[in-house]
Amino acid sequence: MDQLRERELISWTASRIWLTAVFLVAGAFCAVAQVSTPSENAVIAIDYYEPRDPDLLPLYQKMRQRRVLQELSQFLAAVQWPKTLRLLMKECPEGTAGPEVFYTPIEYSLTICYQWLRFLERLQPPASFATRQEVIVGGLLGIVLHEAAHAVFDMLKVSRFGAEEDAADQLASFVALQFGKDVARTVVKGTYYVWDTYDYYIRTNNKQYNYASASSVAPQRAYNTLCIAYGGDLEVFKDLVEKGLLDHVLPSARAGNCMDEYQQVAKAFGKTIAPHLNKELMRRALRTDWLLPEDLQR
Amino acid sequence: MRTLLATACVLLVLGHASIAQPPAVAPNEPIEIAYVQPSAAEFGAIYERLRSRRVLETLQAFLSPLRLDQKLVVKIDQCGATLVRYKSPGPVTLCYEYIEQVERLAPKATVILAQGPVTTESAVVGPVVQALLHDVAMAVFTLMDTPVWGRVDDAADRLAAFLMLQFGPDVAWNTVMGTAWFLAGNATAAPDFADVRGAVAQRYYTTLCMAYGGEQRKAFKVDPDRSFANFVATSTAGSLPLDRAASCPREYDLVKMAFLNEIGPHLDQVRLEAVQAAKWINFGSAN
Repeated sequence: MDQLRERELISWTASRIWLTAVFLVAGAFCAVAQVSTPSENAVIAIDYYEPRDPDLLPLYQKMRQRRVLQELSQFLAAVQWPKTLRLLMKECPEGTAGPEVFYTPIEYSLTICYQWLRFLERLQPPASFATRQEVIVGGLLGIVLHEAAHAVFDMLKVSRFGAEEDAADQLASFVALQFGKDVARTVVKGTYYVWDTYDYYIRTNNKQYNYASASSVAPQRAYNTLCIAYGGDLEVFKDLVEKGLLDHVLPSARAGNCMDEYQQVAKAFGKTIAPHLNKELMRRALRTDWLLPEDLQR
Repeated sequence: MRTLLATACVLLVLGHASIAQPPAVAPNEPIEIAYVQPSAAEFGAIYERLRSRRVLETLQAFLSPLRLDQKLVVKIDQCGATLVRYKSPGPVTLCYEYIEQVERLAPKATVILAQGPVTTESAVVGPVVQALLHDVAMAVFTLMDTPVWGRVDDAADRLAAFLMLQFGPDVAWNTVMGTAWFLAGNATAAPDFADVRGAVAQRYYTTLCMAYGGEQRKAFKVDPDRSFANFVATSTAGSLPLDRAASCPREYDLVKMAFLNEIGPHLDQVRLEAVQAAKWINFGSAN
């Protein structure tokens, strides 16, 4: 098995993105111009595990071929990680709780299960809401940013008074908003659709919301994501708030609070995380066009 | 770590539990207090009781370690609703309607649950202390420019619960149980998922989780007859499921770390020692 793995320590740079590679999940292809520069801070280890399930093999091969983890590592390069962060792609045991993407503190690893990619591929959003590509790209990037947020909180020992999962949702949304309108809308819509899908499953299968969980329930997470986005850019997200998303409308009382919620997150980011960023790499990342219009049309 | 908020607890009292002795702690000058006379006659008795018990004056003293460079107004008022959410720059408002609701939901006599006893006084004092600590926490986050990750109301709930655990097992048990009783009594309405605040049931479990986590971390001496471990994985409604309970010590640790890192530097240590030395609430049992 070891021979079939690829393990690398990557030097980082901000270059064009892993997002494009993600499109491969659905078969779209984009040219990726990759430029490497030496890392000044962190190391990130990556590893693609070959799945036993033959149905997952094509995903494994595509992901390796398109160097998705390598490109993802570039996206995360601006963080001065104090420990080696391991990005793993693997087949996860049956019964792994969804979303099948998770951060494991004891080994500083962020795992993306092939099953999560398969889940995203099977989503069928209404055309009036988003393209399949949007929810695939947004759904993957959103959850990866969420789990990367857990890694940031853990490794940088960030103070957090509130619930861990809410905090990670906030950081993921906030980061997505820093990369321009296309990335922001794609991540927000993809993330929203994923939570809406979970909510739909709960409602249509007569399941109970788990209020005892440490996490907010699916519809709350959908609203929270939209609210941070709206608070961060009223113009870009005004249409989603005014016309509603799928079956849900953000009430005006909540919408009126969204700017405060975004400012709360921006302040927390500035005080607790920004000091740990490589500013030059961050500037380069922010200048990069991560998505092309044609990437999201399928 | 009693450090904390000793600050807040204070309050309480409401004519049920009592302040052990007049706290010989100087009030926090930037905190202004006001008892607004209610127009509704039904709140008259509550108004008179709170004033005579000097509840807000006690809160001022309890909060004396906080170094505030801006004024904070804390008032008790008739709101037309049970809650007025804190919005910067304030004031912090405790509503007569809320106190009336708390008193209405409190048991008329001690109730012995499978997990332990809930007294009338704990069911009244607990939720009032929690509400004041919650709203003061919201204000402190703003006034001290505190970085807050997570939903701010949930963060304030966690900080309030954390503070309630810092004054010994008697205060911990009574304030938490009282809060849990009140929240359980309010958890029957359908939650509004779009609300900026979490569902009442979520607040209930989070409060218990902080208490159980604090107990596991030995924030206070455990009384076997009043242990929050009695809430874990029992068949009784309202118990903490095992998977949540497992995360509670860490949830407690996170709030403790955040408090020490973000609020601790803003506390006057001399005043803090004075606050810690005072006994703020007497529930009538050994502490």
